[in-house]
Amino acid sequence: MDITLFWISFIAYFTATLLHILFLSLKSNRLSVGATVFMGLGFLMQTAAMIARTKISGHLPLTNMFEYVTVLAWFAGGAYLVSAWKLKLRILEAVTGPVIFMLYVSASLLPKQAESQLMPALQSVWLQIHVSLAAFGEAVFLVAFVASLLYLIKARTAPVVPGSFRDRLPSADTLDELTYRCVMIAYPLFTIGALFAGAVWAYKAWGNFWSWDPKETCSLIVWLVYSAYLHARLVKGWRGKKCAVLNIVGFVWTLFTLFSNLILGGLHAYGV
Amino acid sequence: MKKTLQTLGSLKIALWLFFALGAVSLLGVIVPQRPGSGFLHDLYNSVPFLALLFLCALNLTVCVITRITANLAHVFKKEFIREPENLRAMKHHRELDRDGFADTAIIHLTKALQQKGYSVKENSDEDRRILYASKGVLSKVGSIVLHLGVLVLFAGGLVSSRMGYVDYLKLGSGAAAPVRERPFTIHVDDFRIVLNKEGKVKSYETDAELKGKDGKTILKKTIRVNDPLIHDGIHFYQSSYEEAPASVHEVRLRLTLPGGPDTTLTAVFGTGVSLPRGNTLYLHDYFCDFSLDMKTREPSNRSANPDNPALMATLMSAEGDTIFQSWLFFNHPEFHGMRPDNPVRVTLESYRPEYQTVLQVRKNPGVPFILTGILMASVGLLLLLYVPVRRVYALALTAQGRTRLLVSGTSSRFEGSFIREFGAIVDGPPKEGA
Repeated sequence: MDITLFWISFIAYFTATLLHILFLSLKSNRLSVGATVFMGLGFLMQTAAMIARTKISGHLPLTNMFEYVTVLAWFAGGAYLVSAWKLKLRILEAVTGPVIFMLYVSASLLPKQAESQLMPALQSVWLQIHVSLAAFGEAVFLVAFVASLLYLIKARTAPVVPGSFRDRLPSADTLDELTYRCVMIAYPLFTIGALFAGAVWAYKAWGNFWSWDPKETCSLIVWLVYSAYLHARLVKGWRGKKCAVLNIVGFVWTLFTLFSNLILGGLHAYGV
Repeated sequence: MKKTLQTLGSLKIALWLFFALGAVSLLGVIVPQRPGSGFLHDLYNSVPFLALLFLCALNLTVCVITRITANLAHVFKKEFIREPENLRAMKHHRELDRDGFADTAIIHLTKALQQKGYSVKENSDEDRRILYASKGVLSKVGSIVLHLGVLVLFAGGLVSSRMGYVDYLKLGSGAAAPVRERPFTIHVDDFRIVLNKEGKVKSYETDAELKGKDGKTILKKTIRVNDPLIHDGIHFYQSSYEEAPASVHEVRLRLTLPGGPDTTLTAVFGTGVSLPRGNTLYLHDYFCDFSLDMKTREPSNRSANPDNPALMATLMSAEGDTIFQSWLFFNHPEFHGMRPDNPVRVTLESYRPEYQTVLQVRKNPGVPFILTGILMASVGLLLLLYVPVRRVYALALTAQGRTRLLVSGTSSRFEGSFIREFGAIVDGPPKEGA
């Protein structure tokens, strides 16, 4: 049941992606509205899938790579819908939507078996706190990443061709400010969820707050990059291209960290 | 001295340290780490890495010390703006005319601000009333609390690494071991692997008891993963389990009797099995990784891994005579000490291992600091980034029975909601006399 709902939401997100691409080419607002509707449908179906999976397995769907990537995509879908409602920046939606769909594609390639019996190490309330906050933070980092990419396109010095993609983008300042606001929301979630809650859980389970596990270390690097971003912006007054590049590096590393346990092993490898 | 402090606590140094820490940490991810294997393979315990952490802590400490005064000044600052031009220069400002005197306008504005949670202070000159209101100023200490929290966390880690220890105890049911630096021992009453209906592992459980020197029980608890036993600063964690090196639960044997078909039977280790003609087969002395000292001929375990399981079988007659005594090798059944004319030939077909628990014993004196540091850093972070500092300034100038009210405001974050709030404060319904 949960897998069927997953595939229905997959189709909805795929349709939204097609509509987004058509919107970018044909510039019709109706296509953008249609894309947002399908993103909303996909989000609802995905919510239903997560509820179904929770009922089947007896626990929240946070315990393996498939579940984590779908939860991350779900939070990102929620962030997309909130930004569509609040900001109404169609171009931003048109780029964010397909990025979310790419997450969904990667989830579709992972083993989807729901495991009702959690391993002893995962039987803790800290699982819910650590994983959900980390996913929430990373989802908002995703929106910031898209805003930074669009900033770099908008802020190029070459003359703008009227009606071009670059011309249709919001102002560079708007994109820069949006990036900053997203990082401000995401950074505490990621710090408290991924690092602090993870450390407390490790202490409860294994006696050690920090053991330089590959995924832990990669998450620390993510945190250092975003810490540098915030310090440079808040204290040094950095704006613009430097911030955008730092933000993009941070999210690319976040993506690597997400899949690092598949390559590097370590304590988090049980989540495969 | 001041310049040195400024450099040590500078953001530029901090950013470089972030970069260096990230790069070195990345190196440790790429190069496989094995404690005690040299610099690159034990990077996180190496002197250069620890020096880098020290520099980070030093930079953070100096930063906190040099900025604490400025941050606290922000909390307590009261800014009364007396000139209309200064208010008009602010991004959010409004000018209103009110009937009546300045007092009334200021009273209404004060009420509106207080309803929105602002702390309001008043001042006055000959011809004007001046008002300053603020809320959320505590978030200015968020930065201090956050950075102090990280320092406390560092300190906790240092305390644990210098004054703590980690031991691993491998204990079977009924076994006991002393606890380092403590006047009590840990006894394992039972260890079990609990399976669910589908045969999957549900939990690993150790029934443990702490006993004092007098043998009296201090504490009893079932230790599980995520549920350690904690007493007197010592933590006992369910770390793992392994096959007991010197005991098995039960064995399955194949018996070959002369002239008869082979039979199989299951026997409990440490007991005797009755055989035809009144003979009894005793099963004793198990080694999980059998090895024989060629000088002393004494058997022992080469390792704790079940690489060469072997069991001693002794066949005794009804009269109590030993017919044969032979090692039965699970991996090498052809290697034994039985003769062709023995009344029975015994082969070890399989065995059910006995498991012993592996408990991690940890003294972690830095835990209170680390948990406090995490709490401080979390609170500080939420204050700093989620609580906006909002200030409202007002000037009421009275002339010819009418009051000109100038109101301006600033918000450090969430400007959209501040604009709505500011509008509600300023445009609230005029009260009586206005």
